[in-house]
Amino acid sequence: MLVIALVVAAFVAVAFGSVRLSAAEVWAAVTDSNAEPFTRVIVWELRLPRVLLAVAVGAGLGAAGAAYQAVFRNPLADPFVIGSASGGAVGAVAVIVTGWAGVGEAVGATATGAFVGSIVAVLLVYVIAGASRGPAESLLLAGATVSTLLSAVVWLMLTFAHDRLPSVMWWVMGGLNRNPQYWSVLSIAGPLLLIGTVVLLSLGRPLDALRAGDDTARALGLPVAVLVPVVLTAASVAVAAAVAAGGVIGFVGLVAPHLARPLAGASHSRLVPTAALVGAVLLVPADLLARSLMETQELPLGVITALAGGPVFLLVLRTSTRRRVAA
Amino acid sequence: MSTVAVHQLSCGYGLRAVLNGVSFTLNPGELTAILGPNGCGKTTLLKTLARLLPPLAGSVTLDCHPLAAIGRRAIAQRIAFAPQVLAPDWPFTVSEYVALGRIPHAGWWKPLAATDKAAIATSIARFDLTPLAQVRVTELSGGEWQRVRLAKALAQEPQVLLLDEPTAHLDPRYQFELLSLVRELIAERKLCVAVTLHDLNLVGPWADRVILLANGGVIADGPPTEVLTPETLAAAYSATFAVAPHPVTGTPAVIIPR
Repeated sequence: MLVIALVVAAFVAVAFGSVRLSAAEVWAAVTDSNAEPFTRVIVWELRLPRVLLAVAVGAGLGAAGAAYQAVFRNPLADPFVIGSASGGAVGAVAVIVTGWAGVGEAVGATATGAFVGSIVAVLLVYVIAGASRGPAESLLLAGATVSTLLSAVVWLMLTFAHDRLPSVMWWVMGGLNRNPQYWSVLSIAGPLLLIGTVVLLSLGRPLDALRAGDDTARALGLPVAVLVPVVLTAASVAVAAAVAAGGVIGFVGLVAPHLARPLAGASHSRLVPTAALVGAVLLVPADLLARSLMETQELPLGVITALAGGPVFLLVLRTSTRRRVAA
Repeated sequence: MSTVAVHQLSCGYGLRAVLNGVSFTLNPGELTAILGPNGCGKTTLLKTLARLLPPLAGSVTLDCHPLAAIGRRAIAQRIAFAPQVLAPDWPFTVSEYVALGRIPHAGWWKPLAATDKAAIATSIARFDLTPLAQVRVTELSGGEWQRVRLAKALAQEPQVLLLDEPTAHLDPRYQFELLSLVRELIAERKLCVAVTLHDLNLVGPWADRVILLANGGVIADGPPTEVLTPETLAAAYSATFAVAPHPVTGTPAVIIPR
């Protein structure tokens, strides 16, 4: 059912935009190489790769969110709580502010900065929390602290380089429109998102054991000390690629697993793939809204996901709390 | 049939030893109760026996092989440890939770084989959980949850069963049912079972043997009638106990008189 929803959403997202296409036109542009060239360019060069990018980013964030929530045994854990978002923002903003962006934009210097910053932030969080040998909560606390710290660094850099405000704001608020060479963005971020997501999809059973408790997982013969870093690395690679491609797109990683749970149940072999699908189903229409709500400019995608996702999430939270009280 | 032997074992967290120079053997077909005051190291000992913690000194062997020399997964195929989880916080269904017990056999990604599914169904049925198989563990009563924990351990098809406080928070009837099931399993499969307990009056009727821990070591080790004496208990718990044969069972009944 979710797969159908995703296909429909993707099809609609390809058809709609500043130039509206009919279903027949889209179909012709995709399947027939002799279709009208203008439509073909819109579909092939602009809309299709961007929709695919939205699918990949949404799926990566959804799967990563489900994995983080399992490892930290905390329903509030999400890709951005443990520092990857603010790390990515610092990396990207540092590149923009120092002016390297002008030099190396051809090779995607800001995106690389975002990727590196994101990974470094997660490593930092892990080293700090690991050094104190604490439980999952200490990792979450360290992540929240590092996140706040790094956000301060972003704003500090901004005060010294306010002339670059627009490009910096883009990273902080998210959007898939920064680099319109969608195919090339997809060719770099896509594989990383795919690898991270596939690794997480294959770890359903160990994630179940970790969710039940570290001692339970160890007593079942699982090497917890290896497993947790593997999960975090896979999730962080996917998130870092998502940040590099689309900046900070909040809420998807937090909400997708919660929306997936009533559909898939609690077992991660089904929950992680469902969360990935839900993430994609959320992000495709959100990105469509971002680029088509206003004619003259794009709205920041991160703002849309938060504005639309927030109320939906609160509604789900309310009904599930009610059900628990009733039971 | 398996035997767990502990020789001059020191165990604890980091460099701080909770227990020092402990030696004993857990025999197949026996239910051994591990007793002792709060913080005496009962759980630490069980974790070390299950190789969740490395020994600080001395050794733990399973059928004469040191645990350190047996792989994690091979140990989990033979030793099932049910850690204390007071209330589950993730809505697995009962059958999903019991299925965790098959991880040592099925591995971390292979689909469950017919033998795995059979083992899951058998242990669910064994603990009368079949009607609850699709219920979420977060919705169970305390007694049902303890049975689910035990069903998961049984699905591991172990030879050694280490249970941390299996009777905690159970009313008398559930305590009775749970311990009866454990005894049945011991009789059938010659399991080697160690159970930590707080209720001294459960020991006499149910345990073959008692290991009493206190002050960083084993204070007494033997059948309940030998270990549950006012003198030994006073040394372990620093309180004054009265012990008398129970009028019905004849096993030691323990009370701290007012």
